[in-house]
Amino acid sequence: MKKDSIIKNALILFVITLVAGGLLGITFNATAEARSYQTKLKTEVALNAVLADSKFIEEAIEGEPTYITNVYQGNTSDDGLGDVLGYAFQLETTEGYGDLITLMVAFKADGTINGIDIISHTETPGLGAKADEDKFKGQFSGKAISELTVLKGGGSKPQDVDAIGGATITSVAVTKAINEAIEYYNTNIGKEGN
Amino acid sequence: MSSITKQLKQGIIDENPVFIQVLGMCPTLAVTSSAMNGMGMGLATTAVLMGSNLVISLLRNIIPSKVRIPAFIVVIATFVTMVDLLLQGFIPALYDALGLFIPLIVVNCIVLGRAESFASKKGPGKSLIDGIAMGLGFTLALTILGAIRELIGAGSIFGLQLLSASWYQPITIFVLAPGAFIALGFVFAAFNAFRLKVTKN
Repeated sequence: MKKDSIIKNALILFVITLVAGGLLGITFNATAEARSYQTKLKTEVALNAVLADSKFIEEAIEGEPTYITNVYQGNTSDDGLGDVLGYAFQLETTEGYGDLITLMVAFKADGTINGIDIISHTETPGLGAKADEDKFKGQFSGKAISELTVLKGGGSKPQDVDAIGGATITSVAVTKAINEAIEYYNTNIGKEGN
Repeated sequence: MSSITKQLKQGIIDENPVFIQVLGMCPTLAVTSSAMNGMGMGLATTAVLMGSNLVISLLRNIIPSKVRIPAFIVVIATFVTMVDLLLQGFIPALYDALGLFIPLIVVNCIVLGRAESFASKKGPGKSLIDGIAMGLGFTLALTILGAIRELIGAGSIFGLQLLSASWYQPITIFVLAPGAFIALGFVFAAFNAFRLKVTKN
């Protein structure tokens, strides 16, 4: 009799988990399209923020970079036969204060950084989260495509990046990832004379 | 009708999950860095509470008491994952703000607590109202705490700059973890002082 009730309990629990699993599968499938659309939308918004009025063509990544997850060529035409306006790099770093920082940086064909945009982050609100504000992001625009240095309290040299007050770790993580994109651009793309 | 009002009052004030029952402290302290985050977390929890209370109440005669805890957790975890997926797909702004904390709703003691002490004993209608009442009480507490921390720590409420940066230097610690404890202590004291005064009269 006692054995019976154990089996009965287990069976009921089994049925509940089975139904729950089925429901989860249905929800997962039903929202799959919307979720991938949101991810794509975020990337597109970031691409347009860093390099406006371009058509973007995804390129193959050479070597095994640490932070670079995607390389896009910004072209005047969809088929890539028009003029190259610049290149955009999607970067991911775990060296921030929170979990993962995903950002986008674009280089213009004239040899300057056109802009950066933070796609997602989990930095501390009020501190590291300020990386997503124009005061920090804006200072990258117009800088030359060569190594950047983070300084507290603002430097005077053209390649100096002013760290966010109280969030040096975030500032350094973002700049370090951008520096990799700069190096990648200078080794693999800039030399081709684009 | 009056029993619904009574239940709502109980969840929001007399048995407020945060201020009176002191449950769900992890999300209370972690996500209330701004009023918006607090309210979002509160509403997400409310949705889960309503769903889990309703389903558990409907299944209360089927679930054997010996395996009720794992059964409750399965039901709650299912609802949390569904809310997670739905937010990700349809309200991405809120998902960005709460992302990390949504899975934590599973282990929020309010949800399991209501399942164990209320939904597993009462009918589905009452249980649903209880979920709404407790959820709103939780939302209220988190929004108040978030608003206070955001105001002191960043000079704004719901992202609206109220204290101008020209004369107000934000006390940044209030949007960080230690500030959560300090603010929570003061809000606890104020809420209970207010409640005592009301009951005395």
